[in-house]
Amino acid sequence: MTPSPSLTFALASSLFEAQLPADRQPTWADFRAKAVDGGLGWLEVHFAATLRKIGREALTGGLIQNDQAAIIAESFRLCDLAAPLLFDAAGIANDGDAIFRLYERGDHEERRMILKALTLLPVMPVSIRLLQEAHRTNDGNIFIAAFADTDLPARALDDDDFARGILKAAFTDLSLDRILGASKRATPELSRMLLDFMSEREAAHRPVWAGSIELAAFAPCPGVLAKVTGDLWSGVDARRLAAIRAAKTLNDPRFESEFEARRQIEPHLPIRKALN
Amino acid sequence: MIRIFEPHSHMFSRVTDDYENMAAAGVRVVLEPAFWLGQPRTHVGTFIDYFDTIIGWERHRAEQFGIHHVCTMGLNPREANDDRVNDAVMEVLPRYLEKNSVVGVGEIGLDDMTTAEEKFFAAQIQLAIEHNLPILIHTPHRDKKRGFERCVDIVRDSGIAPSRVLIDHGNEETIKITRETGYLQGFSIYPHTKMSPERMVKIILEFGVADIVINSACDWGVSDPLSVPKTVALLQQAGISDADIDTLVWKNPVKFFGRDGRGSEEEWMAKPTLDWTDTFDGNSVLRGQVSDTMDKNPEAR
Repeated sequence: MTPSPSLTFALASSLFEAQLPADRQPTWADFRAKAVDGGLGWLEVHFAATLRKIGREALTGGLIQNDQAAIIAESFRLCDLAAPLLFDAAGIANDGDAIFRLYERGDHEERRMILKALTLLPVMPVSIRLLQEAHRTNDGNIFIAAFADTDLPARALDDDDFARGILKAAFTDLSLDRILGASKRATPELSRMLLDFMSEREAAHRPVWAGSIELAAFAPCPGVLAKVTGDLWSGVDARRLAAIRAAKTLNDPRFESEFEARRQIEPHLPIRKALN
Repeated sequence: MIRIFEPHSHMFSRVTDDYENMAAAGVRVVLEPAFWLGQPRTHVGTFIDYFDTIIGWERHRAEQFGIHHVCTMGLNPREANDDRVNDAVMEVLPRYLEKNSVVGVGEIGLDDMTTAEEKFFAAQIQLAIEHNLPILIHTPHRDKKRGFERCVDIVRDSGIAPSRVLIDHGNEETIKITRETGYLQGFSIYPHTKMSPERMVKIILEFGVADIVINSACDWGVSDPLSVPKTVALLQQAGISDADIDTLVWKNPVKFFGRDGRGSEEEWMAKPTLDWTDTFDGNSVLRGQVSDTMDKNPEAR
């Protein structure tokens, strides 16, 4: 039942081994051996204990990526990285029904670990099912575990589901930078949705998600140029910065004079730098 | 302010005002023992949903008021008598006993002192041993003295370490039975039954604070979630030192329940992050009062 692990799984495995404190190595060895012996039955009872036995410490390592997947190490705790290794040990790493069963019976911490684990395993139907479930539950922490700091949604979801995920990110103000691979999944239809959402928020005098135009610039729809131009003069720093990035993506010569004018008065150094 | 670990409160049945008042009175941790729900459940699914709630939404709800929430899991003695649910609950219990906010097995014990109660009580003590957890024992309300003696017999036969046993709902009579057992002895302080704050003060004056915890056991009946802080005030008036009171309402329960990575003094002294906009499965404690959040919880963003 053991799948051929993805390259990201192998990287995660070496990262875990390297960052697991020495005094926890015996605990891990025992835990892993029990998972091998007990399989799903053992995991169903003991998976929750991964958090306290293996640890909650965040990893370091920044962006880890290859041609198969991308993750940001800091968003993973030791227990999150242990999860796919335990699935592998228990022989359920490619058993969607078993993974779903664990998720269904898990508390929030277990669900978070499972969602993180999926980002390190080959895409399976259960990956999509649980991304949809994480979206449906409307729980901030669960949504972030599923959609942030990984390119799994970008790799696994169809256009409709991905667009829904982006709109939820916009609604919950999750930074676009944390949705890895989003630019590759931009479509004019998603851009239209984002611009409509911007207009709705502006009409209601509510904050606008800065990622909207930045992402829309990768697959422009009517109105994007005007929105970007307008946001270059926004009073909100994040929107100004997003507009600069969007303008660079659009690479339209009309922005040159706007950039020049903005440079004269931009008060914030990081934004001034971005204008160069 | 005296810090309080409330070791027995059925917050599932309480309203948000109770959480606010408890937090204001010094309660930092509440322990919710799984129990019955006022009327018999007829299938195991309702237990599963209840168990999921007390490790899920209820925990989240408590944290929104700056209180840590932990629980004990078990098949309560009342429903241990019900063949529609008892075996099936025992089957699902092991996976709940490994959850991180589960700090014990309970409430287990005796109520009517039937054969079925004894059987499931003994079986759950073995589960506690297997999962390295302490037990929280519910004792009968009727024929209490004999019930305590029977509980002590069953515990002794089980092989569980006395230091991992909390025997609850005691009174002036039962303390004579349990004083030398090495168990933690619990007293549930109610407005009209079991134990009053005044009687509790007399017990502390006579027996001291070693191996004793007090709780409100507040539920959906006439009970008071502030029983512990009210008793603390009376203890102070009676001249009991703050150090002894701290042992009674904080150190004793913290030492008993905070083990094996399932909570610790350090963890429980740190206040949960307050953010009323935080959701749990899409639900928050907010009912449209965002500005109130800021007023009541200045630490909230």
